[in-house]
Amino acid sequence: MRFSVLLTLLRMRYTLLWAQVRLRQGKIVLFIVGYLLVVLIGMLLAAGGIGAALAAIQTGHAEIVARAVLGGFFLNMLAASVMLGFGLSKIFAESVLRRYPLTALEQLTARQLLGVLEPLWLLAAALYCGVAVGFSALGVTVLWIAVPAALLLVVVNYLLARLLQMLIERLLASRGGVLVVLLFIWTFAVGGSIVLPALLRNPAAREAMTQLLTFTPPFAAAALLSGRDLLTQVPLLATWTVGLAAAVWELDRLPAPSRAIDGADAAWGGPLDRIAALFPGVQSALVAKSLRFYLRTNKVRFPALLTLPMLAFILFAASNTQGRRPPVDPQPAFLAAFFLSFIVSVISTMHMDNNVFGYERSGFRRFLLAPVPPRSVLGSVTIASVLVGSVQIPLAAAGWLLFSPFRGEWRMLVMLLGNACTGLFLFRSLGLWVSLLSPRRADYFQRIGNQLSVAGNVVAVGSVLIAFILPQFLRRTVITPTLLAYWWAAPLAVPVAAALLLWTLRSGAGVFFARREQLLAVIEGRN
Amino acid sequence: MPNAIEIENLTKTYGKVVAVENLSLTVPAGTFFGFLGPNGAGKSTTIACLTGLLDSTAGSIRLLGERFTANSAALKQRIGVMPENLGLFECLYAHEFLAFQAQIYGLDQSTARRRTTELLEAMELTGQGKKPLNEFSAGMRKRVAFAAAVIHKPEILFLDEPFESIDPSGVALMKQWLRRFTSAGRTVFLTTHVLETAERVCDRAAIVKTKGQIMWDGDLRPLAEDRPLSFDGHNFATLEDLFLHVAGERYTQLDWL
Repeated sequence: MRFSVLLTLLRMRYTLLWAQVRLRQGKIVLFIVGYLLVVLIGMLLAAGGIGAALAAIQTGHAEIVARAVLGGFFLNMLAASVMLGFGLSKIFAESVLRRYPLTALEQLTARQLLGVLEPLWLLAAALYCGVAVGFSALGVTVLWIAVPAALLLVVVNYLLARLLQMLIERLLASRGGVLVVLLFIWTFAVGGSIVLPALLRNPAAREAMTQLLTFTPPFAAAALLSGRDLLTQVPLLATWTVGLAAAVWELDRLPAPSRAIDGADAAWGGPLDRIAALFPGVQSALVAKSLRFYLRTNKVRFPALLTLPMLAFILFAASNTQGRRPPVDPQPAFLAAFFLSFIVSVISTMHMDNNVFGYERSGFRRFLLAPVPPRSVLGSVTIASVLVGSVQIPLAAAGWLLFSPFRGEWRMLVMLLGNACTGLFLFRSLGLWVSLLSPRRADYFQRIGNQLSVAGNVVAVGSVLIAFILPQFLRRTVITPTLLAYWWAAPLAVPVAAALLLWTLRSGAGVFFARREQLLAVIEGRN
Repeated sequence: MPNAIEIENLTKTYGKVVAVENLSLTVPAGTFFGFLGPNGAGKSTTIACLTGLLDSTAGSIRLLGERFTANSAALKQRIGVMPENLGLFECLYAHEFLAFQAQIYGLDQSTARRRTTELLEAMELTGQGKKPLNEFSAGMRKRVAFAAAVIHKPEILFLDEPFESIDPSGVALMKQWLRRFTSAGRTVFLTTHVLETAERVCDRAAIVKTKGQIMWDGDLRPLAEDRPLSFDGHNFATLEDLFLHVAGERYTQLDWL
């Protein structure tokens, strides 16, 4: 292993990063603010870690608190990376590193070393090290054991996230793999929510589960920080690291998956062409192309299959109070449904909607070369997105009618349908503006991972998080009968959102034309 | 013969950087025209302006006798473009991409499908029905881009480095089509760094140096008749000799190499 080569690549990564931001004054400011924010959050997390350690020792439950803090953060990092796609971007693709005289091991190490130095993992390091410093400052353990243990936990956390990402990518690329991943998520989410409470009620089962968890990396790190079982926990953490690294190594060596079918003949007149044929003239060809753009990526297909089960599960969780009686609102499920209905048609297409041209790369110039007005281009991607997203609305409504406990309350259904249609138009409108004003060159064939710009993330991830979290905060203040009294506002909002979308298409076409050179430069990777 | 392309004092700047400055050029209809020059001479920028991809900063462009701007949808329908980076929609299959191109350029669905099938067969791209374009080899991608440029039978064809990565039999076929294309009064505007190819296929050529400054513009047919090209008081037996004279031959000795 030549570490000088790895260092050269590491330097190159930051040179490239700087080269990307120095092109425009605004970008430099954004870059500096972004990194200052990362440093600030890192410092807060480190301080939080130290505080948690102090509190843990003062309460006399050092290891238990350490387990909770490290375990909770470990899982959150996994969710943020695997589900939201943060911290797992490929700085240098394998094909790029193959051009250099590097061994396979050096290539893999270079890529993973660059990966673990992404801001997300630096934040994890800040928190884990904060806990470690807190524990060693109060004499529970020594610094030279605690900090390496914390850093090793970061590496394990990263490797596990990377391994899950690679496994999911491979499954999604295979036929039927989407269903396997869905099944896995269902087992994990629903099974967990049913099995876990049952286990917690049974002391013997709880004890057995705790014993099992002691073999997990965060629990092993917590034991090390508490100064316990040095001789067993160090090998355990090392085994996790080596085992995960070996698994990543093996998966990395497998050839890239492909869905292509060799020797297949050209087939004409499929269902997408028939749907597109409903539109006149060249719009038909543009819509057919846009429908394929949306439906041939797992960035749409996977969330499309996941949306309704996921929302149903959230509603189930919101209504399942299990003895925790909400003090004001007796129907938290409706409040959750009220907010989730805004995004029911959005989740499946949000990755594409907020960067609708960025995935086209050099294909984007066809839109500029073609003898079609910009409004037709924007119109076709919007039509395709609306068609794909709107499929969820009748399915969700049917689900609500069949399974909700409020079957007789028609105002609820009207409100939910109104919200869903409003969200359908509103978020396409926002997505178009983000695509035009803050595009990002992205890889259409990357199956998971977050490739949106900051603005894209604010709209896409922000809206989903708000819809998930807001009901939790409002359940004490918003009363369902009060909400229902304004049921008429929901259908009224639909034409307003539709008008906003039409206005966006009209004025966005002008922006598209005026900014086409900048768009071309960004999307083709020259800016 | 009327002019297919008329460029007058074309200037294109990117901020303070001048890519093309005061370029004036005419290309008669039915010409196989080579637009040649070293890297960074402004060839691709010129093609981008001529095809409506970029707005010119100053100057005017007339295509087929009409003033051309990035908004000229009707004129765009009469030209075909094979861009430098091919501009393929990677998620589509080859036949879908070609049919899309045909329909966007005004062909009806049945004609689009018929021509797509014929082009796929001619370009030896059949049997790729369920393979997205991103999985095609470099040569196959080039063939698809070429087919997409000609499918609507344009009156002017802009080709940016069309022959690289394509095998000799494919290149021979493309040249055969292009000769037929120009003999029917249509125009080809070609940029390439392969001067032997340009010498063999082009009737006329212009050599630009920096900022699209034309250093030489003339007839290449004497070379086909084994007669030299005369310029600057010298005779040149090949286009490459002329190019090196115009663009400047560089001699740098690297002792370690």
